[in-house]
Amino acid sequence: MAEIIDHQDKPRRCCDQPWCTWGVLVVLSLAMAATGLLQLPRWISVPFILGVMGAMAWLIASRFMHLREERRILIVTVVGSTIFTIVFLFVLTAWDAIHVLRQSGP
Amino acid sequence: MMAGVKQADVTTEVSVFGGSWRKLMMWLFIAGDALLFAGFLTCYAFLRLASPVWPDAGRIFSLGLVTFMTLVLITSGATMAVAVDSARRQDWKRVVRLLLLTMVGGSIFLGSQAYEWAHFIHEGAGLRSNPWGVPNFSASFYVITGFHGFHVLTGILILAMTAYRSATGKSKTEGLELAGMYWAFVDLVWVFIFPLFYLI
Repeated sequence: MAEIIDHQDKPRRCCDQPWCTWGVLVVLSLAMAATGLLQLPRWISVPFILGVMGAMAWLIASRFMHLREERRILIVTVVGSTIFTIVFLFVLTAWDAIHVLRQSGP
Repeated sequence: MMAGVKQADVTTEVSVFGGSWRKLMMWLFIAGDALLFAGFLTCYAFLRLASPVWPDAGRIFSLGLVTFMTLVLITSGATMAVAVDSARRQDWKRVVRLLLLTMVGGSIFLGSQAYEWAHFIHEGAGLRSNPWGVPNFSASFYVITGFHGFHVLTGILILAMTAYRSATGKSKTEGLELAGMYWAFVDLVWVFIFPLFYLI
């Protein structure tokens, strides 16, 4: 029979501490804000910002929400289904939505 | 027939994913809420793609203030994560202190957002019109940041209740974990709003 996971006595590396994660998040936030200030070309700034955004989201979900302590099946179910639905929603409705919005005018 | 059915105890019984049912329900709630925000941000993306012109948010908003808000929210996420760690070690006095710190962070964020809204309203931006000529710009700003702000406010109330229960010895480790998950989710959503609305 499955047991409820107990997280109390797990040994932790220094880089697993919340303050270490916080430091990385602060650096990434400042890097993202600097990209906005520097007015870089969009083909550089947009992929960079989206990449940093994804990295920050993963750090927060895995470390602050403790997602990495959960079982793999839960991670796949929650994260996988959410990402799938978002991609599905965006990709399959984008062109129709834009077409309708353009036809409806300003 | 019904008398023979044993009722499940959701507080102690193990869910199909190994954790408790409460935690599983919290994950499902978060996934549902994530889809709601994804819907908002997808609509925002559609509006931007469909609009021939779009105001430069970097010139309208103070990037310094928004970066400060982001750093405050991330810091409050860290204090909440440390509070969860302290709860797992049964150090409840430290938990209460950290929860109060997290609430202060959330309140500073909300105060900054109120200031930003007041400034935006003062410039003439409404739900249906704004000085930059693209009504959807201010409408999506109010809806997305307002909905997120409502989540922050709800989070502060949850943290206040959790702090009270921790101070009076009524709180359990799992309660802290669930509150921590919600607060981290609020943090997570802002990580998407900040670049998508203010930077790109």
